[in-house]
Amino acid sequence: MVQNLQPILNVEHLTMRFGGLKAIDDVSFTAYQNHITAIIGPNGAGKTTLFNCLTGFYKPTVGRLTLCSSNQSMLLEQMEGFKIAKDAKVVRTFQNIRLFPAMTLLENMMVSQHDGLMRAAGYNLTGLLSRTALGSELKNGWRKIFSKIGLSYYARLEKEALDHCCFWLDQVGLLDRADEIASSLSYGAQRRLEIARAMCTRPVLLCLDEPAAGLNPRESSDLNVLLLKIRQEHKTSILLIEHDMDVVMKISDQLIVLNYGKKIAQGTPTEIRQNPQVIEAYLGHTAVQVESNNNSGIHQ
Amino acid sequence: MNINTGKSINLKHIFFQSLGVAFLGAVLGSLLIGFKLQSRGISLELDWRLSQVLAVAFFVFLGRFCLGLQQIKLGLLSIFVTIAVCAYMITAILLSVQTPESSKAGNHLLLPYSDMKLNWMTSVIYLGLFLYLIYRFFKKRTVLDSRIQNKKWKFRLNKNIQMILIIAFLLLLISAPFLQIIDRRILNILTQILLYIVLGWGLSIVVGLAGLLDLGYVAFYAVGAYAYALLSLHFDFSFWLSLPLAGLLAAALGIILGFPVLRLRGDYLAIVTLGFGEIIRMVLVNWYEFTGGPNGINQIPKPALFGYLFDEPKGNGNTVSEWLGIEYSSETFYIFMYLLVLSMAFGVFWFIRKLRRLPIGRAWEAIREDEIACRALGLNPTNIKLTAFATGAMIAGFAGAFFAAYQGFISPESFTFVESITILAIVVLGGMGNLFGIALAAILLIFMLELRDLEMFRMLALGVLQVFVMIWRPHGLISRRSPTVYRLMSTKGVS
Repeated sequence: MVQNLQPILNVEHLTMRFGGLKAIDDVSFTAYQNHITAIIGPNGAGKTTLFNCLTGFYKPTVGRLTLCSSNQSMLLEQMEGFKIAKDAKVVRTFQNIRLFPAMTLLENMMVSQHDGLMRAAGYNLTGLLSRTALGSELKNGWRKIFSKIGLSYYARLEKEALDHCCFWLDQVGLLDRADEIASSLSYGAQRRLEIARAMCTRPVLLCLDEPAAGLNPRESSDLNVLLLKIRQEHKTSILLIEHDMDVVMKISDQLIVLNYGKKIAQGTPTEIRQNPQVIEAYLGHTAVQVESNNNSGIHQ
Repeated sequence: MNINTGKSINLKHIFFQSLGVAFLGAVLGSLLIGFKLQSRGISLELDWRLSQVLAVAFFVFLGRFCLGLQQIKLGLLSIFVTIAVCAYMITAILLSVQTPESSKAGNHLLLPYSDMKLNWMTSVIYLGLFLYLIYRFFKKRTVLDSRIQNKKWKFRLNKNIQMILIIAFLLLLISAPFLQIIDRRILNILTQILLYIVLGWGLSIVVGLAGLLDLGYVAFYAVGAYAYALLSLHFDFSFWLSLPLAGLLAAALGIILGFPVLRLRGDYLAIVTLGFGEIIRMVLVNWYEFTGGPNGINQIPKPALFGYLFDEPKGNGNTVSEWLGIEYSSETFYIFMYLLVLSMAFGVFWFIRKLRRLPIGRAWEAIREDEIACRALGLNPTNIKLTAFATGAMIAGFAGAFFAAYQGFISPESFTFVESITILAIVVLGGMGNLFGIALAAILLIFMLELRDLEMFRMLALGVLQVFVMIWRPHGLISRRSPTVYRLMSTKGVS
């Protein structure tokens, strides 16, 4: 791992102020390529605010967010909200799941292909004349004529997009239910669909906001497998907010601990587990004393 | 099929159920058609039309009974009963129509009640019931159907039957103005219904698909109408040239309105669009030199057909009647306009259906479902909402141009707030995004509004109808939303 530690995201002196409240106070860290970086901290520590700054939902008061993808670096804090997902390819999921409930799973996935398909459809001008996947029960002869004059270009790209969507639905185990309405899914399946939808945009950095919240132990271990697969097979770096220590400790390469908007620790899971400041933030001051007493007892 | 509902369904059960439904029908029927205003001397009095209500109750009973027979697998019998009723009604109506003078004595006895309109409605309903029963009887599942999970949604006829039904329906629509029973008044209503259907479809993009509540939609309609009127009067633009211009002007106005209100949602958006609609109307009323103020614009040129005019022949051979070699009649123009509006309706239908399947249509629906999620996926909400506004406005602009050409006279009176509400009611009643539902709702609503037999009660009846529809079908008449893609269309799905 050590030999190719290339940074993907550089956060420098990030500060977010809401009136008098400093939700994030001078946080700096670096996330590396092909790493799972987890951000943990007690409730109200500013984790989700950090995500919102990162994905353009908030404009940070101070600080610089640099995304270093393949060969260029982009300043996320200067980009418009939707462009962070579109151009910088930083895609997020939400703490409270945000699907398109009345649409089918496959349509949910297809929405994430919007940009490419819009271009394929000539911003809907040539698309109006070309075939679409639905309603294309044409005879072969017609199909040939269509492709001769270039009108099946959109249909071909749409098919590719559909295949890509189906691939990701398959990855999260929802392909069989592709034509069902999203709101009919169980909570865990909705979480997986949201992750699949985000992955469908081919992101370089995937930001997951509490993906394991509300999942049962089996589902969260499945999630672990999925996240590891995403990291290894699809070369996507992951930034993760999580309360479920089982998930965090098992899969993350690097942990960042926030408390009251400040970064209090950074390191590998084993380092963090022994960090007295972290234990204090989670369990209170006395707990640290007990812990250190125990430790000293063991050492003696 | 709801055969296996646990309760055993037998003939007696169905009979009593039908009786209950018939009673309900009688109660509702007496509200809708049971009274007739009569002026006696100086006072108005209500007449209780018992025979008609009874006939309605009887037919409701019979219809429900046939549906019940279908359930206990006596399908063939029910089909025979309905076809018998259909045949009886239609022949009776045709007989009494063809010989209006002689109908007074004998032919009227054939009909269960003497109101032509109600008889037509009954026979149409029975025809629908008959076709439905036939469909249930010969139902075949296609491959696609069985793969689709939610089977309640799927309602697919055999491809051939579907084709025949569609063609028959189209032929009926196209040949409607040439039928004997369709007179000038009914043709007028039909054209109006078509215009409202188109308006409803246009608004359904904004309200139904993109989820932006627009209470000032009629403003774009007005812009289209005035655009054609003014362009043709002042610049001698022909109808066919002004039509796209009217659409473009309305779309441009839609974008201008869209920009400032994009941040708003729900109630706030509704208030702003309401204000916008009123502004347009006030401008039309007060800018006297340009728009003619409350007097409106008169004598808007009629559209020409390949350069031939719909005027009285003057001998120079440039009128349609001379060109086609038919006798001049003012009706020709109205028939032509009906067909024109009909073809526009088909065009708009195709346009919206296609748009829904293109990425922009999915994006509209996604914006309605969750705007924040859209942003997180890299969709630009501003552009998507603006295109929704512009497309909806453009369709209204087209409809407006047709309206101006059809009426030959426009004034701000035609573009009041009530019009906006009527169009919105059509969209909501029809089921927000569903094109067929909206068409059905437009037919119902406009027919109700034009049904002069109900006289003062028609607004009341309209209200009652809407309340009941909202209780029974809170999501609109046809709230089914068909997906825009299926898994089977992907090569992955076939495996």
